[in-house]
Amino acid sequence: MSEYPEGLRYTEEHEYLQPTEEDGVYRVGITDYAQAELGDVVYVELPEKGSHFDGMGVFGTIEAVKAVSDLYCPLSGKVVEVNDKLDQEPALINTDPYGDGWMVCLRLDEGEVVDSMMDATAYQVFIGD
Amino acid sequence: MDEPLSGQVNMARDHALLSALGKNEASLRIYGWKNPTISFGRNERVRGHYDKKLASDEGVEFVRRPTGGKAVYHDRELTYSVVLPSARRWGIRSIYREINCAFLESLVSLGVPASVAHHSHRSPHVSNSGFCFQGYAAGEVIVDGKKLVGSAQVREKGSILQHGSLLIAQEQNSLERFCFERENTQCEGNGTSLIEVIGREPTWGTLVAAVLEGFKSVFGGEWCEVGLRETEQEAEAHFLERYSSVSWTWRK
Repeated sequence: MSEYPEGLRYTEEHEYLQPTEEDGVYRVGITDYAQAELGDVVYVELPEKGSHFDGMGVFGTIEAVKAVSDLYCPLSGKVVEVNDKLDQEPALINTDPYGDGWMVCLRLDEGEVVDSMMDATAYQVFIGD
Repeated sequence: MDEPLSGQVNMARDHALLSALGKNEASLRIYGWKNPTISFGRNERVRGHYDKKLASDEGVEFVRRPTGGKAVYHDRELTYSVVLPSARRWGIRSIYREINCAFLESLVSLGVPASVAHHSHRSPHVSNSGFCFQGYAAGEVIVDGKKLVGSAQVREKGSILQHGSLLIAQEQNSLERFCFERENTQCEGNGTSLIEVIGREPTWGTLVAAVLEGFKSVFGGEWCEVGLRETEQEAEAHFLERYSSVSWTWRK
């Protein structure tokens, strides 16, 4: 059974938003369910720091052994940090999706509301776990 | 069903079917290759590894796929592509399972003792830069521990494309000839083929009929044979630019 930590917000495309110490800045990654479904991640293509994305815009791609999938930005915002470690160690997404496997830090645009996204309970219901 | 086309058109058409998929629709395309073609995985690092001049002299083309995975040599094979709406649960593995079940039914009807791999396998002698048929993932179709059908997926905007190759003849060793670093490239365990397994080559018509029956049986629903719609033709023209471009093929 997959893990869905409390305190995070989730999308129907299986990305999460995790609060950081800075107000309005969130870590984005893919959920434990998504990494398990994909299998061994071999490559991830992430945006440049400073890029801006609209909500549900494609911010990168992820490739597992067999499947390539787009990555969707949960809400509108600007990328303020990129996890460069994933370039050399993409498997961190499998081993620690909510920790070292985070992908980018996003500063949300003004007016964006994380409460509009699913919480852990709603996400668990969504994926039928 | 398509006549053999170039690698560029084949990839553009598969991607067009993915991008133009209508509501409550799915498609199965069966096709071949006009010329022998080496296809690369979307993110595979191949720049500088292949002898383009030798390939050109021998009439072998290169193309980069929209899907993941590793290099495949396409010539005497049946190639398929399936486009389906992406389920809410993603369904990457379940779609693999269903498509492979369809191939199992098809192959069994042809007398091929195929099975589905329970675990992934990659030869310890093969590096990460190896070829598609040198290993197999759990759920893929194998015979005697060798891959017979190699497949890969891409998921975009709520739809999934899975395409792959059912080998009629074993030609994957040809890949090695076009690689510069031959001494580092092991072709051990490079898949198997219908001819190796059943000792004869089924006619194209027999093969297509068997594959169609397998898919109809596993997926059910109403089936009809159609040509490309206008939206798909437009999308194909759009994607043809990408798949014909040197910068896409050799981007890594």
